[in-house]
Amino acid sequence: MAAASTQLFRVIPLLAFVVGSSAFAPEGACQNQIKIGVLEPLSGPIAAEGRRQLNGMELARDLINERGGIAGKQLTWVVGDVPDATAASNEATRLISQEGVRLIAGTLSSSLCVPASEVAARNNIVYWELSCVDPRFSTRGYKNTFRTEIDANGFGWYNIEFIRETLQKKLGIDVKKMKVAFVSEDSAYGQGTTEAGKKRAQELGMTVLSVDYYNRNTMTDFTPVILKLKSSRPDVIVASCYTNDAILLWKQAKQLSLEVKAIISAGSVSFGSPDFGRSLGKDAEGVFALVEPAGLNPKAISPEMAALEAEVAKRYEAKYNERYAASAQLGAAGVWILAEVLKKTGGDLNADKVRAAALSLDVPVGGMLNGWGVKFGVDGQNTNERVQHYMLQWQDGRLVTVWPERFAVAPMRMVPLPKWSER
Amino acid sequence: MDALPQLIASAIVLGGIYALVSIGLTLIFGVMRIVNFAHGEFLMLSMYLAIGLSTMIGVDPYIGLFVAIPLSLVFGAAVYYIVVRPVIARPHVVQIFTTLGLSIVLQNAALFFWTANFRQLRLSYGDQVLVIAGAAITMPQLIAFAVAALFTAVLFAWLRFTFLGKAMRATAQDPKAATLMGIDTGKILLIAFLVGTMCVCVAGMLMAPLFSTYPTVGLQFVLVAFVVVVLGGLGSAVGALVGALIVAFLDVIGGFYVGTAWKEVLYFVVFIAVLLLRPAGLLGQRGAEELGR
Repeated sequence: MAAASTQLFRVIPLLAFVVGSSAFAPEGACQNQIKIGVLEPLSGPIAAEGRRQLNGMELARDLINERGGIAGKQLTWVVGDVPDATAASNEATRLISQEGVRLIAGTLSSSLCVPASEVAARNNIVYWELSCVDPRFSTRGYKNTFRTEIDANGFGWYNIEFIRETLQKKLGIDVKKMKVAFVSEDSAYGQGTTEAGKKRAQELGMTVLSVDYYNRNTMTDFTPVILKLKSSRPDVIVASCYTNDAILLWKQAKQLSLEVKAIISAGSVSFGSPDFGRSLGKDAEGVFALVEPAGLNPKAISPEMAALEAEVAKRYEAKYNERYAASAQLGAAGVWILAEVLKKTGGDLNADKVRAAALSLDVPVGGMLNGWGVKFGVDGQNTNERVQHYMLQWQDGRLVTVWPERFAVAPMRMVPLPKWSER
Repeated sequence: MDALPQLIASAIVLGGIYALVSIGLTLIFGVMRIVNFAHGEFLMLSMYLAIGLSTMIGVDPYIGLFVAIPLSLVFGAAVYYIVVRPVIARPHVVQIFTTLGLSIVLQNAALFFWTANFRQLRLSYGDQVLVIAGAAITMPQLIAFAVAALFTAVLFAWLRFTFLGKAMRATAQDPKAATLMGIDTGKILLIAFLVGTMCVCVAGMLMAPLFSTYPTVGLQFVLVAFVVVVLGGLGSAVGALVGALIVAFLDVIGGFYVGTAWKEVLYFVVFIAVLLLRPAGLLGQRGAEELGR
């Protein structure tokens, strides 16, 4: 018995050493690496876009590393799968406490970015959001929370700006006589976009006929919404959808012959998703999506970025066998901007240093991937004017940049949309 | 008012779709007393099957049914023997975790094999619209409703007029007494599970042309299906159809007059009211509501 316990005493320190050294091993191996945490929904209902975003991020990371990395160090990350808000919070905690990361990037969705960034803020580390648009994200007073993409207010604003600047001329309807209707899913993304758009439309004197919210997880039939729109006859429908509901909406619009002069939706998950065009075929033609550019007029962006943009798109299409998609573009651009910031800190992830570097970054529109610029506000939000957004249109089975004019690669078609029976 | 014919037609069609998903569930839930959380994933798998048959060998989903139904029986039997049977006599918590686990496994398997992309089965005649009394209905919708009505009728007749059906209802009402009367309840449970799986498979095949297919599509319909099943009465095929039509009418007509944001409020209010007045559901038989055996 005594011998056994002595042996046990010998074994325990040995075990402790083995366990301890394995736990610290990654730290030692990280001398030449900058390791961050990445959260994306890779399972669950929005996994398709989460996967695309991660793909875009990986391409940007590989390009950064091929070009010498950040201050001579390679950028690496550990990925957490966050299908829902609870997972977002749990995985953020795990990445910080178990993986020891000092910066987290992610997360595609408005339902994920808020809980994930709260965990980061509690731990006083930097949270770097690439694509959620919840307007509340940047109004919580967190010092080390940044977002490279615009917020839903920006989405709503750009949607209406497109109508004001160009669509009204094409349709020959004065802004003050324009009738718009909003159809929107009811999460932070939909509500934020819709409320901001509605406000802006009313400021410009447009008539807002209706605002219809629905729950995208249980929406199985758009008949009630479509019949209302058929009787109120809006000129333009401004929709905020996720992907499966966007497909169902437009499929049923055809079935029920909803005739409208134009339909717009902001965001990479809606009409901007490749699945929208694939699912609807020629019925998708003429639909507008406010997203990242599918090819830009090279004259409007810096030559260096034009070349880089083309390179990322080329690699994406070769690797994933689909066109460079909006979710991926958001991921790639966000990582690229992060790398620019970390170059300024020499790879240091200290929250104060990252903040100082981020706030000092000042890049005009056209100077970044996606043709974006960068200027973070003190709230950590990249200003909406710098995050140039583009109106794309489904033409011949692909999304084409049609607005703003200086970035456009093709003229708009099908304005106003022809009747369903005439297509 | 000219919207009314279309609203009614859309509600009937949607009710047919809800009924298709719910009929399988009402048998499994009602007779076996197992809450099959993987029901939605069975639906998802058959939607992928419809797409697979169509894209790989060019088989229309309606002809594909002749392949899908035998497959669903094999699949149902496998799930029954491997997953369900070992937990039939166990507490409800064990059953819930088992079927929930199965649902997660199937969802992630679909994610792995077919990615999370949204797919749409497109039929050459899928967009053809028939105008009936001022209401526009597509062919796939009409077929889905017709099949739902047919299935309800056949199941109703089977449960009511055949010996096996009677044995099944007896098992739903009181499994112990049924055993004492000489009913092989083990066999009845297997049959209930197989018929339930077959029904949801048919539902998936018919829904693939109507809705996007993706790994979590089942979740979109399974909550409604549970509401329908409890509303209509556990184990009752006609109850499932009636429940499905009620929910669909509240969805569509309530959505039009009150607002789509309110549709769940509407049907849950009705749901609660029905349960207060008729705990066994609208057409449920007495005894069927007692979940604890």
